[in-house]
Amino acid sequence: MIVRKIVSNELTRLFRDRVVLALAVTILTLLVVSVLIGERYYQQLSSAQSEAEYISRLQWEQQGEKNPHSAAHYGTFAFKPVNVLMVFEPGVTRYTGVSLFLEGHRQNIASNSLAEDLDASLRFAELTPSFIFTYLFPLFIIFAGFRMVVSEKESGMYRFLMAQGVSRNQLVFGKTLALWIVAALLFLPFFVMGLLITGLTSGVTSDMTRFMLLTLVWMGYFGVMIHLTIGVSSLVRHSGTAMVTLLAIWMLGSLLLPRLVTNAAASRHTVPATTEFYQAVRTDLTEGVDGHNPFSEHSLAFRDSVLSAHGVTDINELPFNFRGMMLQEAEEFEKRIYDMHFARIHAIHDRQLATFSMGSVLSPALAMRLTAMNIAGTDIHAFRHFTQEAEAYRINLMRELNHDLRDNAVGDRAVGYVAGHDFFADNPVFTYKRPSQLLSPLVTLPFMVSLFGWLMISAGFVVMAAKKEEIV
Amino acid sequence: MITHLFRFEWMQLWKSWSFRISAVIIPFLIAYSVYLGHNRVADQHQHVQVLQDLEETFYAEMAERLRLIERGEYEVGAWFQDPANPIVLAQFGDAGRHVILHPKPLAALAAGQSDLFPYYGKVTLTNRVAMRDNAFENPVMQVTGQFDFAFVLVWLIPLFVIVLGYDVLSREKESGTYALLQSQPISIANVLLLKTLFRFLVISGIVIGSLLLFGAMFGVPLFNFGGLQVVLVVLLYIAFWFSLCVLINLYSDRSAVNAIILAGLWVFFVLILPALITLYAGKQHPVPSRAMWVTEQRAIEQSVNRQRDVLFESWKADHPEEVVEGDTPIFYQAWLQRLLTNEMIQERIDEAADRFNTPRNAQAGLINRLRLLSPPMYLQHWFQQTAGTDSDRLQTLDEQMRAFQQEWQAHFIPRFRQLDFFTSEEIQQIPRFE
Repeated sequence: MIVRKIVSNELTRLFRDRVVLALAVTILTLLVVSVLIGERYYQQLSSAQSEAEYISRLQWEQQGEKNPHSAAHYGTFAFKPVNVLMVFEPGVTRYTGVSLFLEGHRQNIASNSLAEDLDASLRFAELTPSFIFTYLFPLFIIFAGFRMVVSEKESGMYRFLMAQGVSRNQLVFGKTLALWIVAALLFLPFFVMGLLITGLTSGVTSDMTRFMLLTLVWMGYFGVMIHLTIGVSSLVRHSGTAMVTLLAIWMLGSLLLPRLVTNAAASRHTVPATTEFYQAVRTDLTEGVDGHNPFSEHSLAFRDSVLSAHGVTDINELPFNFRGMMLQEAEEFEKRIYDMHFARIHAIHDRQLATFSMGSVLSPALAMRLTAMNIAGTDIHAFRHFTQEAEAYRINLMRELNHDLRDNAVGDRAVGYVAGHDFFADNPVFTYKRPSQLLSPLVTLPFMVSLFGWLMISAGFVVMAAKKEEIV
Repeated sequence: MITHLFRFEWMQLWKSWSFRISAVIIPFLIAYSVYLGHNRVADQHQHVQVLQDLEETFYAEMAERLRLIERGEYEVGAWFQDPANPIVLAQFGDAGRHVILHPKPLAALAAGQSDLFPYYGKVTLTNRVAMRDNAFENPVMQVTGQFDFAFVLVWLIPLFVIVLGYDVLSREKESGTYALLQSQPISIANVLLLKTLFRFLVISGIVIGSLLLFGAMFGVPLFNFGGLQVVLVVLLYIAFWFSLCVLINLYSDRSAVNAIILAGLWVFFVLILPALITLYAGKQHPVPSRAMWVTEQRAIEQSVNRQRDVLFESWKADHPEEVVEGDTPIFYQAWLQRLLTNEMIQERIDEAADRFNTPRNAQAGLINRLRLLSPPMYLQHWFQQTAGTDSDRLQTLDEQMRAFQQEWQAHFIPRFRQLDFFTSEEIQQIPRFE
């Protein structure tokens, strides 16, 4: 009963506080604008992506009569799909390439990232819900709550309340609840908008579940900030001190540590420079069959083994086109080499992520962001999944091309063999499917544990602050 | 009086936790940012060195092989191994030159856009490939951003200033010493000014002292005109935030309210205003889709390739003096045609690329003007320019590569068309990128 009064009292006070109201309106406006802009941006990207996919397929099918291996060099593209949750948490999507060139003999890196066409000022701040939730929303919580307990002491109300029989526990608990309610109320319009947008874009699918999960993660993060705010407000004697302490916590947790941790991780586990990477690949490639050099040591050895297996002495006596066979042999070897080198890069990224997860113990903002990215499917793993699927498609396509050459460029068709439109139109089509699993537990677990740990510890902090006996 | 005031201020500061923590954290942050910057630039210098060595070795080997051939001590197996052939020299294997935007002296202070745009690329007769050093970098790094001196100064230092300056006068009122001050033979305005001046000097001293110390330690050349500019800019920026503190203190008596307003101003200048400006510029001058661009380039390629035989024949008919007629080596016709087709494709692609460059430049121009509204945003840009890591400079790479490619082509293509082969002496004189 007393708690309810405290809560309603506090809410009335907050609604009458013009500063808090102005802040709430600002944040709400920014949120609405960011969602609307983000949604339009998503629609543009999405339609450009499917249009590009369509045209590029057409270009593949209509490339004209060609030797299948020339077609392998001509290559085709895979385009990174976008999903509606990037409206709320764009993650790394702006910084990873949108197109991936798929060709014979090599695995490329996706190029043309969106960030290249955006101004440098974007690195300052981008108007997305995720940005607002990481930086501005916690500030709102701090601004709305830093005085809640301490002002009672400053104004002398505290003694009065104690004398009236209100326990410190009830006071602190009531204020905490009030701040939770305010935060939830401010979040509510966004939540409704988010549900509408995910629902309208992709129907009642896993995207909606993902959005709900995102909401939980965000609310968990807000909870940490609410608890810290009330805890600090209960323990200090001046509201100015509360403000400065909370600002320092915010700066450390949201601004400083995430950058510090990622930079430290990258400088501890360094990825090789691009030229070094390709140099290493090139060195390893000399250790196997080279599809374009029939006189290399490995190519000759391979030829001899094929000849002896078929009991002939000349490749022209083979019942199939030897070049097609050799190209495929080389392709598979090249794939092994590339896979090995890419796996090394991925291992480095994983080690960096492990360092991030250690850092997230210090920064709830980092824990929140990395969890949210994973749930939204906009993190580095989602991107890796896309590139791996594209690679699986590439090797499939190359096999089909090489086998066509091997099986059909025989006898009197061997010289000047070309494949036509029918063949290219029959080649497999790349359609990317996101993993159906909502989040990768192995990846997110450390971050979720940190975030949950923060929520619990900060709640403990409030309880501790409420227990502290104080004479004012 | 001044010494008196400064002495009391110092005692007060020294006793406050926020000052003690700041005095430790600021030097640490600056040290770490300069250290990371130093590493970044050292890596770049090292890569540049490797590339240049690679280039030198390649052409030294070619010249050496050609000398042996000229003396009759060596014979090549196939035409594509003949170092006298212009095509071999300008196009095959490791042939070609690197076009490099060397890091500027103060590059360590701001990473800027250097994690997005390449600072070097390779040019051959047909290719112009800008190479991103950090293509394998974890993109999370780009999301959180680089930890450089510019970040520490532009984002974090103002928060320290606010923490030390939000209550410069209001605390006196709250603690009751205001009345005492009023009874002193010095005006309140002077007290406020001197108190702020003292705090300004202390913070600036810590920032500039750390910058100079760690700059010297990590080999960032700051004791010159460029360094002086940086120091002045740092002073101005810190002064800007202190003057905001003074202003707020003049109008509001309550420390807590001051803290809110100042933090709000920080959020406005550092987060909200830049976000709105970027948003507005992006809406005014939208850049078309890159995914579509990929397919467009391919369409251009296809359309030129479809007519390449016709184009080639008509070009030959128009330029009979430029080509060798009659019995020519096997590679001659094919490469003649390939170079010509490539030139046409490149021309058309470069033309079409304006569709991207125009809105991007318009966006940049608009942001350049609006940037003046937010001192932090302006300063960030200033640091990037000083460090040579701003997108404007990095985006000139392609132009410079284009210009150098023209020089490269002008040197080799006419001689190839005439089948005028190189001598080992001439290999030493092929164009270099300066």
